[in-house]
Amino acid sequence: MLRRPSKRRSGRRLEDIELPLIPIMDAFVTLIAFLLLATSLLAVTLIDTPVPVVSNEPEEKMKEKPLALQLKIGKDELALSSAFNRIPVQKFPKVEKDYDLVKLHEALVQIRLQFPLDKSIVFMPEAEVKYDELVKLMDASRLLLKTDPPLPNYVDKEGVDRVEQFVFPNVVFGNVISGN
Amino acid sequence: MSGLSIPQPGSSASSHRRGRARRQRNRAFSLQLTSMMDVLIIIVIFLLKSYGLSIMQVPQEDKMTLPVSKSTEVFGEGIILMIAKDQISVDAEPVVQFVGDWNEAKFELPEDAKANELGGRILPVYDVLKKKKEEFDALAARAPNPEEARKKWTGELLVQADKEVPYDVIRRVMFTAGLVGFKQFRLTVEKQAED
Repeated sequence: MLRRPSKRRSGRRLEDIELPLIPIMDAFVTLIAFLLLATSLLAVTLIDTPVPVVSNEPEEKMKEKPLALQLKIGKDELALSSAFNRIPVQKFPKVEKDYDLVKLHEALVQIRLQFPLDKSIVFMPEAEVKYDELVKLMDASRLLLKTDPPLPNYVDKEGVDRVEQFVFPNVVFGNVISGN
Repeated sequence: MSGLSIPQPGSSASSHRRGRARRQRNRAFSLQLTSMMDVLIIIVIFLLKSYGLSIMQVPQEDKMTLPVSKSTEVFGEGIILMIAKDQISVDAEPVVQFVGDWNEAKFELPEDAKANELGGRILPVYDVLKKKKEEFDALAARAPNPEEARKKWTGELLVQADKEVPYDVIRRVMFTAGLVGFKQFRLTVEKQAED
Protein backbone atom coordinates (compact mmCIF):
# COMPACT_ATOMS: atom_id res chain seq x y z
CA MET A 1 0.00 0.00 0.00
CA LEU A 2 1.30 3.40 -0.88
CA ARG A 3 1.70 5.94 1.94
CA ARG A 4 2.27 9.58 1.80
CA PRO A 5 5.98 10.52 1.98
CA SER A 6 5.46 12.58 5.12
CA LYS A 7 3.90 9.64 6.95
CA ARG A 8 6.66 7.34 5.79
CA ARG A 9 9.28 9.70 7.18
CA SER A 10 7.64 10.21 10.53
CA GLY A 11 7.11 6.50 11.06
CA ARG A 12 10.74 5.75 10.41
CA ARG A 13 11.95 8.53 12.69
CA LEU A 14 9.91 7.29 15.67
CA GLU A 15 11.57 3.93 15.44
CA ASP A 16 15.08 5.30 15.03
CA ILE A 17 15.21 8.04 17.67
CA GLU A 18 16.80 6.94 20.91
CA LEU A 19 17.67 9.52 23.52
CA PRO A 20 21.29 9.28 24.71
CA LEU A 21 20.38 8.98 28.39
CA ILE A 22 23.67 7.57 29.65
CA PRO A 23 25.69 10.84 29.48
CA ILE A 24 22.80 12.66 31.11
CA MET A 25 22.81 10.07 33.89
CA ASP A 26 26.55 10.54 34.28
CA ALA A 27 26.00 14.25 34.75
CA PHE A 28 23.25 13.65 37.30
CA VAL A 29 25.34 11.21 39.32
CA THR A 30 28.19 13.76 39.45
CA LEU A 31 25.72 16.47 40.46
CA ILE A 32 24.30 14.27 43.25
CA ALA A 33 27.77 13.58 44.64
CA PHE A 34 28.54 17.31 44.67
CA LEU A 35 25.21 18.24 46.26
CA LEU A 36 25.54 15.52 48.90
CA LEU A 37 28.86 17.03 49.93
CA ALA A 38 27.47 20.55 50.11
CA THR A 39 24.11 19.75 51.70
CA SER A 40 23.51 20.89 55.24
CA LEU A 41 21.24 18.38 56.88
CA LEU A 42 21.04 20.44 60.07
CA ALA A 43 19.42 23.80 59.48
CA VAL A 44 20.86 26.34 61.88
CA THR A 45 19.39 29.74 62.59
CA LEU A 46 20.06 32.67 64.92
CA ILE A 47 18.34 34.71 67.58
CA ASP A 48 19.92 38.11 68.19
CA THR A 49 20.03 39.64 71.61
CA PRO A 50 21.99 42.78 72.44
CA VAL A 51 24.09 43.31 75.53
CA PRO A 52 22.17 45.44 78.02
CA VAL A 53 23.87 48.78 78.53
CA VAL A 54 23.58 51.40 81.21
CA SER A 55 23.22 54.83 79.68
CA ASN A 56 24.93 57.83 81.29
CA GLU A 57 23.04 60.27 79.14
CA PRO A 58 20.38 62.43 80.82
CA GLU A 59 16.90 61.01 80.69
CA GLU A 60 14.99 62.15 77.65
CA LYS A 61 11.95 64.22 78.44
CA MET A 62 8.96 62.30 77.17
CA LYS A 63 5.28 63.11 77.20
CA GLU A 64 4.52 59.79 78.82
CA LYS A 65 6.61 57.09 80.45
CA PRO A 66 7.73 54.19 78.27
CA LEU A 67 6.23 50.73 78.55
CA ALA A 68 9.53 49.01 79.57
CA LEU A 69 7.98 45.55 79.40
CA GLN A 70 9.53 42.97 81.72
CA LEU A 71 9.10 39.22 81.85
CA LYS A 72 10.20 37.62 85.09
CA ILE A 73 10.89 33.95 84.45
CA GLY A 74 10.59 31.99 87.65
CA LYS A 75 10.81 28.26 88.26
CA ASP A 76 7.04 27.89 88.48
CA GLU A 77 5.52 30.89 86.73
CA LEU A 78 5.98 33.84 84.41
CA ALA A 79 5.17 37.40 85.45
CA LEU A 80 4.62 40.07 82.84
CA SER A 81 4.82 43.67 84.01
CA SER A 82 5.86 47.19 83.08
CA ALA A 83 8.71 48.96 84.88
CA PHE A 84 6.55 52.12 84.94
CA ASN A 85 3.28 50.34 85.76
CA ARG A 86 1.76 51.03 82.36
CA ILE A 87 0.02 47.64 82.41
CA PRO A 88 -1.34 45.48 85.24
CA VAL A 89 0.92 42.60 86.28
CA GLN A 90 -0.07 39.34 84.59
CA LYS A 91 1.04 35.96 85.90
CA PHE A 92 1.14 32.70 83.98
CA PRO A 93 1.68 29.58 86.12
CA LYS A 94 3.26 26.51 84.55
CA VAL A 95 0.95 23.98 82.92
CA GLU A 96 2.18 20.39 83.43
CA LYS A 97 5.79 21.41 84.06
CA ASP A 98 5.88 23.66 80.96
CA TYR A 99 5.49 27.40 80.67
CA ASP A 100 2.15 28.53 79.27
CA LEU A 101 3.54 29.89 76.00
CA VAL A 102 0.14 30.21 74.31
CA LYS A 103 -1.32 32.50 76.96
CA LEU A 104 1.90 34.48 77.20
CA HIS A 105 1.93 35.01 73.43
CA GLU A 106 -1.72 36.11 73.39
CA ALA A 107 -1.06 38.61 76.17
CA LEU A 108 2.02 39.98 74.39
CA VAL A 109 0.12 40.47 71.12
CA GLN A 110 -2.57 42.43 72.99
CA ILE A 111 0.08 44.59 74.69
CA ARG A 112 1.80 45.27 71.36
CA LEU A 113 -1.53 46.31 69.83
CA GLN A 114 -1.99 48.67 72.77
CA PHE A 115 1.58 50.04 72.53
CA PRO A 116 2.52 49.77 68.83
CA LEU A 117 5.76 51.78 69.15
CA ASP A 118 7.33 49.60 71.84
CA LYS A 119 9.33 46.72 70.40
CA SER A 120 11.46 45.56 73.30
CA ILE A 121 10.96 43.11 76.10
CA VAL A 122 13.35 42.55 78.99
CA PHE A 123 13.79 38.97 80.22
CA MET A 124 14.65 38.44 83.89
CA PRO A 125 15.19 34.70 84.25
CA GLU A 126 16.13 32.89 87.42
CA ALA A 127 19.51 31.13 87.47
CA GLU A 128 18.09 27.58 87.11
CA VAL A 129 15.97 28.25 84.01
CA LYS A 130 17.22 26.11 81.14
CA TYR A 131 18.42 27.51 77.82
CA ASP A 132 15.86 25.45 75.90
CA GLU A 133 13.03 27.07 77.86
CA LEU A 134 14.51 30.50 77.25
CA VAL A 135 14.60 29.88 73.49
CA LYS A 136 10.94 28.79 73.55
CA LEU A 137 10.02 31.92 75.51
CA MET A 138 11.98 34.07 73.05
CA ASP A 139 10.07 32.50 70.16
CA ALA A 140 6.74 33.11 71.91
CA SER A 141 7.71 36.75 72.54
CA ARG A 142 9.21 37.55 69.15
CA LEU A 143 7.40 35.71 66.39
CA LEU A 144 4.03 36.76 65.04
CA LEU A 145 1.89 33.75 64.11
CA LYS A 146 -0.41 33.50 61.09
CA THR A 147 -3.38 33.21 63.42
CA ASP A 148 -2.54 36.47 65.26
CA PRO A 149 -4.31 39.73 64.46
CA PRO A 150 -2.21 41.92 62.13
CA LEU A 151 -0.03 44.50 63.85
CA PRO A 152 0.20 48.08 62.58
CA ASN A 153 2.78 48.67 59.84
CA TYR A 154 5.94 50.57 60.68
CA VAL A 155 8.20 52.93 58.74
CA ASP A 156 11.83 51.76 58.52
CA LYS A 157 14.99 53.92 58.50
CA GLU A 158 14.70 54.45 54.74
CA GLY A 159 11.14 55.70 55.08
CA VAL A 160 9.55 52.58 53.58
CA ASP A 161 6.29 51.28 54.97
CA ARG A 162 6.85 47.72 56.27
CA VAL A 163 4.55 44.99 57.50
CA GLU A 164 5.33 44.10 61.10
CA GLN A 165 6.35 40.45 61.39
CA PHE A 166 7.38 40.35 65.02
CA VAL A 167 5.54 40.90 68.28
CA PHE A 168 8.52 42.07 70.35
CA PRO A 169 11.59 41.68 68.12
CA ASN A 170 14.12 42.96 70.66
CA VAL A 171 14.65 40.57 73.53
CA VAL A 172 17.17 41.79 76.08
CA PHE A 173 18.40 39.94 79.16
CA GLY A 174 18.09 42.46 81.94
CA ASN A 175 19.76 40.76 84.89
CA VAL A 176 23.08 39.92 83.26
CA ILE A 177 25.09 41.72 85.94
CA SER A 178 23.12 41.01 89.09
CA GLY A 179 21.75 37.59 88.14
CA ASN A 180 18.50 38.11 90.04
CA MET B 1 27.08 -41.56 9.65
CA SER B 2 24.26 -39.58 8.17
CA GLY B 3 21.53 -37.45 9.68
CA LEU B 4 21.64 -35.03 12.52
CA SER B 5 24.06 -35.54 15.26
CA ILE B 6 23.10 -34.49 18.76
CA PRO B 7 25.86 -32.37 20.21
CA GLN B 8 27.14 -33.42 23.59
CA PRO B 9 26.81 -30.92 26.40
CA GLY B 10 29.99 -28.88 26.56
CA SER B 11 30.92 -29.61 22.93
CA SER B 12 31.69 -26.76 20.55
CA ALA B 13 28.44 -27.17 18.68
CA SER B 14 26.44 -26.91 21.86
CA SER B 15 28.23 -23.81 23.08
CA HIS B 16 27.93 -22.28 19.65
CA ARG B 17 24.18 -22.68 19.78
CA ARG B 18 23.99 -21.35 23.35
CA GLY B 19 26.08 -18.35 22.33
CA ARG B 20 23.67 -17.57 19.59
CA ALA B 21 20.78 -17.78 22.01
CA ARG B 22 22.61 -15.50 24.42
CA ARG B 23 23.28 -13.00 21.70
CA GLN B 24 19.62 -13.03 20.81
CA ARG B 25 18.70 -12.51 24.45
CA ASN B 26 21.25 -9.69 24.74
CA ARG B 27 19.75 -7.96 21.78
CA ALA B 28 16.29 -8.06 23.37
CA PHE B 29 17.51 -6.75 26.72
CA SER B 30 17.65 -2.99 27.39
CA LEU B 31 18.01 -0.98 30.60
CA GLN B 32 14.95 0.98 31.71
CA LEU B 33 16.83 4.26 31.93
CA THR B 34 13.79 6.53 31.92
CA SER B 35 12.60 5.42 35.36
CA MET B 36 16.17 5.68 36.71
CA MET B 37 16.33 9.21 35.36
CA ASP B 38 13.10 10.02 37.21
CA VAL B 39 14.63 8.80 40.47
CA LEU B 40 17.82 10.79 39.90
CA ILE B 41 15.88 13.97 39.14
CA ILE B 42 13.87 13.59 42.37
CA ILE B 43 17.08 13.12 44.36
CA VAL B 44 18.66 16.17 42.72
CA ILE B 45 15.59 18.32 43.48
CA PHE B 46 15.58 17.18 47.13
CA LEU B 47 19.29 17.89 47.48
CA LEU B 48 18.98 21.28 45.81
CA LYS B 49 16.22 22.17 48.29
CA SER B 50 18.41 21.37 51.28
CA TYR B 51 21.55 22.81 49.72
CA GLY B 52 23.29 25.14 52.13
CA LEU B 53 24.08 28.46 50.55
CA SER B 54 25.85 29.72 53.64
CA ILE B 55 29.60 29.56 53.54
CA MET B 56 29.74 29.62 57.32
CA GLN B 57 30.80 26.39 58.93
CA VAL B 58 29.00 25.35 62.09
CA PRO B 59 31.24 23.26 64.31
CA GLN B 60 29.44 20.23 65.68
CA GLU B 61 29.95 18.79 69.11
CA ASP B 62 28.64 15.39 70.13
CA LYS B 63 28.24 16.49 73.75
CA MET B 64 25.85 19.27 72.80
CA THR B 65 22.26 19.39 71.59
CA LEU B 66 21.03 22.71 70.26
CA PRO B 67 17.55 23.90 71.21
CA VAL B 68 14.94 24.14 68.46
CA SER B 69 13.51 27.48 67.35
CA LYS B 70 11.17 28.89 64.74
CA SER B 71 13.45 31.86 64.18
CA THR B 72 14.32 32.62 60.55
CA GLU B 73 17.47 34.74 60.76
CA VAL B 74 20.28 33.54 58.55
CA PHE B 75 23.58 32.38 59.85
CA GLY B 76 26.33 34.90 60.40
CA GLU B 77 30.04 34.99 61.06
CA GLY B 78 32.09 35.78 64.10
CA ILE B 79 33.82 34.29 67.11
CA ILE B 80 32.01 31.12 68.16
CA LEU B 81 31.61 30.38 71.85
CA MET B 82 30.36 26.90 72.52
CA ILE B 83 28.89 25.63 75.80
CA ALA B 84 28.77 21.85 75.63
CA LYS B 85 27.92 19.40 78.42
CA ASP B 86 31.56 19.04 79.43
CA GLN B 87 33.29 22.31 78.61
CA ILE B 88 33.21 25.86 77.27
CA SER B 89 35.26 26.44 74.13
CA VAL B 90 36.03 29.47 71.99
CA ASP B 91 36.56 28.91 68.26
CA ALA B 92 36.78 25.14 68.87
CA GLU B 93 39.56 25.53 71.48
CA PRO B 94 38.65 24.24 74.98
CA VAL B 95 38.77 26.99 77.60
CA VAL B 96 37.05 25.69 80.76
CA GLN B 97 36.09 22.17 81.79
CA PHE B 98 32.95 21.75 83.89
CA VAL B 99 33.32 19.98 87.22
CA GLY B 100 32.12 16.38 87.48
CA ASP B 101 30.91 13.80 85.02
CA TRP B 102 29.57 15.32 81.82
CA ASN B 103 26.82 12.69 81.63
CA GLU B 104 25.17 14.30 84.62
CA ALA B 105 25.21 17.66 82.82
CA LYS B 106 25.56 19.78 85.94
CA PHE B 107 27.35 22.63 84.15
CA GLU B 108 29.25 23.48 87.32
CA LEU B 109 32.17 25.83 86.83
CA PRO B 110 35.37 25.28 88.84
CA GLU B 111 35.68 27.75 91.73
CA ASP B 112 38.99 29.18 90.47
CA ALA B 113 37.37 30.03 87.12
CA LYS B 114 34.79 32.34 88.67
CA ALA B 115 35.80 35.88 89.54
CA ASN B 116 34.88 37.05 93.01
CA GLU B 117 33.00 40.17 91.95
CA LEU B 118 29.51 41.35 91.04
CA GLY B 119 28.47 39.56 87.86
CA GLY B 120 30.96 36.74 88.34
CA ARG B 121 32.79 36.70 85.03
CA ILE B 122 34.44 33.48 83.90
CA LEU B 123 38.17 34.25 84.06
CA PRO B 124 39.54 31.85 81.39
CA VAL B 125 36.79 32.88 78.94
CA TYR B 126 37.52 36.54 79.68
CA ASP B 127 41.24 36.00 78.96
CA VAL B 128 40.62 34.21 75.64
CA LEU B 129 38.03 36.72 74.41
CA LYS B 130 40.24 39.64 75.44
CA LYS B 131 43.13 38.10 73.53
CA LYS B 132 40.92 37.78 70.44
CA LYS B 133 39.90 41.43 70.75
CA GLU B 134 43.53 42.50 71.17
CA GLU B 135 44.53 40.49 68.10
CA PHE B 136 41.86 42.33 66.12
CA ASP B 137 43.02 45.69 67.47
CA ALA B 138 46.64 44.87 66.58
CA LEU B 139 45.65 43.96 63.03
CA ALA B 140 43.56 47.12 62.74
CA ALA B 141 46.51 49.23 63.94
CA ARG B 142 48.63 47.85 61.10
CA ALA B 143 45.99 48.66 58.46
CA PRO B 144 46.53 51.69 56.16
CA ASN B 145 43.58 53.40 57.81
CA PRO B 146 43.47 52.17 61.44
CA GLU B 147 40.39 54.18 62.37
CA GLU B 148 38.35 52.67 59.54
CA ALA B 149 39.70 49.19 60.30
CA ARG B 150 38.67 49.48 63.96
CA LYS B 151 35.13 50.30 62.90
CA LYS B 152 34.92 46.85 61.33
CA TRP B 153 34.72 45.34 64.80
CA THR B 154 31.11 44.16 64.85
CA GLY B 155 31.25 42.97 68.46
CA GLU B 156 29.17 39.92 67.59
CA LEU B 157 29.58 36.69 69.49
CA LEU B 158 27.94 33.52 68.24
CA VAL B 159 26.83 31.50 71.24
CA GLN B 160 26.17 27.80 70.72
CA ALA B 161 24.87 26.19 73.89
CA ASP B 162 23.44 22.86 74.90
CA LYS B 163 19.71 23.05 75.53
CA GLU B 164 20.15 21.94 79.16
CA VAL B 165 22.53 24.77 80.08
CA PRO B 166 21.13 26.81 83.00
CA TYR B 167 20.71 30.56 82.59
CA ASP B 168 23.36 31.19 85.24
CA VAL B 169 26.12 29.92 82.90
CA ILE B 170 24.75 31.85 79.92
CA ARG B 171 24.47 34.99 82.04
CA ARG B 172 28.09 34.68 83.15
CA VAL B 173 29.19 34.17 79.53
CA MET B 174 27.20 37.24 78.43
CA PHE B 175 28.59 39.33 81.26
CA THR B 176 32.16 38.21 80.51
CA ALA B 177 31.82 38.94 76.79
CA GLY B 178 30.19 42.30 77.55
CA LEU B 179 33.19 43.30 79.66
CA VAL B 180 35.53 42.52 76.73
CA GLY B 181 33.51 44.66 74.35
CA PHE B 182 31.05 42.35 72.63
CA LYS B 183 27.81 44.17 71.94
CA GLN B 184 25.62 41.57 70.29
CA PHE B 185 24.97 37.92 71.07
CA ARG B 186 23.77 35.68 68.31
CA LEU B 187 22.24 32.60 69.87
CA THR B 188 22.66 29.66 67.51
CA VAL B 189 19.68 27.30 67.47
CA GLU B 190 18.40 24.48 65.33
CA LYS B 191 15.70 25.56 62.92
CA GLN B 192 12.35 23.92 63.51
CA ALA B 193 10.82 22.27 60.45
CA GLU B 194 7.96 24.32 59.03
CA ASP B 195 4.42 22.97 59.44
